[in-house]
Amino acid sequence: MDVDTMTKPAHPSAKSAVEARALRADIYDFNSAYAACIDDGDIMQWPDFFTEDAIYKVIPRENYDQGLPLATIFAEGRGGLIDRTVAITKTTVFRPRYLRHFISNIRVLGSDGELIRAEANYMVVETLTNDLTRILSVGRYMDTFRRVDGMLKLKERLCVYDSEMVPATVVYPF
Amino acid sequence: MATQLKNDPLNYIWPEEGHTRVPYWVYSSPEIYKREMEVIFGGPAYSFIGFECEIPNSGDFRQTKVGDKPVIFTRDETGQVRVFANRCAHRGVQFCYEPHGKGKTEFICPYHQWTYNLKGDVIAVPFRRGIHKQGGMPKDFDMKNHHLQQLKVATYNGTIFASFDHGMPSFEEYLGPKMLHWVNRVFNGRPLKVLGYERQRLRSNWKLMFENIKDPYHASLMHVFLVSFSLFRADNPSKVQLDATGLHGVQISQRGEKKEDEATSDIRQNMAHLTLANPNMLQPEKEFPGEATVVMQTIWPNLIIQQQSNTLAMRQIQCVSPEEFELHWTYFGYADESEEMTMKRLRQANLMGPAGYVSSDDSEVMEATQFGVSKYPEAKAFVEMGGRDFEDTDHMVTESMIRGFYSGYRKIMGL
Repeated sequence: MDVDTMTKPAHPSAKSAVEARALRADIYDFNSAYAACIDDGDIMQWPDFFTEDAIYKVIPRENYDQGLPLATIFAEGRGGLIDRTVAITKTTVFRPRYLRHFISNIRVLGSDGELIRAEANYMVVETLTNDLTRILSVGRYMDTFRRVDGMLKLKERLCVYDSEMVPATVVYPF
Repeated sequence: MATQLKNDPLNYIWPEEGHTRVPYWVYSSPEIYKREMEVIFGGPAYSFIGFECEIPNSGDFRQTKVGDKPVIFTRDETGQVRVFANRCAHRGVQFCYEPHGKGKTEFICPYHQWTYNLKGDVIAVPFRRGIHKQGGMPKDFDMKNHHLQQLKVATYNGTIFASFDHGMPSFEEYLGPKMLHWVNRVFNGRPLKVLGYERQRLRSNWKLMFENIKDPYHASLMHVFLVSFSLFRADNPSKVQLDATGLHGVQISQRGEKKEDEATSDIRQNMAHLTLANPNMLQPEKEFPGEATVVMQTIWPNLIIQQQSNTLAMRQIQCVSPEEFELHWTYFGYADESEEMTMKRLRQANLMGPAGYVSSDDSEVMEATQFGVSKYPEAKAFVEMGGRDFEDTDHMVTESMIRGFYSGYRKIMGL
């Protein structure tokens, strides 16, 4: 692959570089709001970033690469996302912690007007009380967005993580 | 005169109350850990290795560990499963780098290219006879003395176990009929398929993982999710069974009705009013004979067989250090099952693993236990729920299996 091909934005249907940049900026803002919701906001609002029929999965990279279907978290539809937030706030017994999401390298892979496919790198850093800060998860978001009333919503987010040896527990979503 | 150091390695004396107490030095002492690796994982015990379906063809292989010792398992040209140390016979190099792979015909150490066949025999030693009559191995060098270190392998209905002790009896004899009965429930010869893996590293002693599964007392209290959805309750019909050594054990339970009464009134956060917004996640289907819906079996020294509703997994314990271990989960189903059943397993997997609605409580509490015991080696645990003996019970309000475990552990460790 030559340098031109590698640096050319991969968004076949975008009419111009301006549109492509605008879309990328929209996704950037979306991801920033998504991170703020989990890191500093109200986790009960996390399902609002998804469509009603959304799929959310957290998958070890070895499973993804080998075509094995098992996910660490598998939430189906708004209901599945709500169940996860209820478990976090009502039933799971865990030590207090802060999370911090870093989302970068957004790439728009394609859009057909209704659905937008994009990827991003993510890193989630975790700080337990009285302990050193550590990397909890590093991986790739594989996203499908849909606009609902003009707003971007996730129809699908697969968090495929390289950090297959999970340090202890995953409480909050990536 | 100087007083004797507390926890001096020469002074590891078990509390006089016996197996109803667990001295906290067993969870943090480097001397104890070293002995465990030698006499338990390096000794007469069958450690779980993997599934035969993970290496269907000759030359397929995977890395794993026995205790903290790296090994690989593979299948030779005759179809026999082989397990050997991932350590070149020459200078000790890890010769297999890839975590798993297919169709090898030989293993070549990258350092000096010593080459081994699939039986673990060395078949090539470069420059063995020197170059231009210079160098080379001494005249009495005999390839036969330089094979990979082999483990004794036992396969049982698709599962693979191995031991560093070549004098081991058969796997059936090792487990005994009572424990084998529960193994046969899930592994009856029906072909298996792997659904995926999960791995986590916990800052906790490895024995706390065993204790967790041998402790039904906590399950009906800490696991609010399980109790709220009646997957496990103190008053559900249930029992625990141990083998004669106390080292293997099993807890067996039935899913109950969702209700509030004295079995839940002691639970600080009873959430019986909870409902799932997506009930798809938890629609178990009966698939095994009998009434039990949860069977959690601990097989000494490194395996938990998990059957909670339709989520099936092997949880393999790998040791890291006195205060760290890893849990390697292999989720599976059956090769001939319906897509619908596989989907049930994948949905119910939300209960288990590092993010499990149930298991994350356990991961957290094991690290919290280590936090509590690590710097108080002179203190000890009180384990008398359900009495002071260890025997089978037809209820869950007991720590019988933990007492049995430490009774067997003390004998093996000479403590």
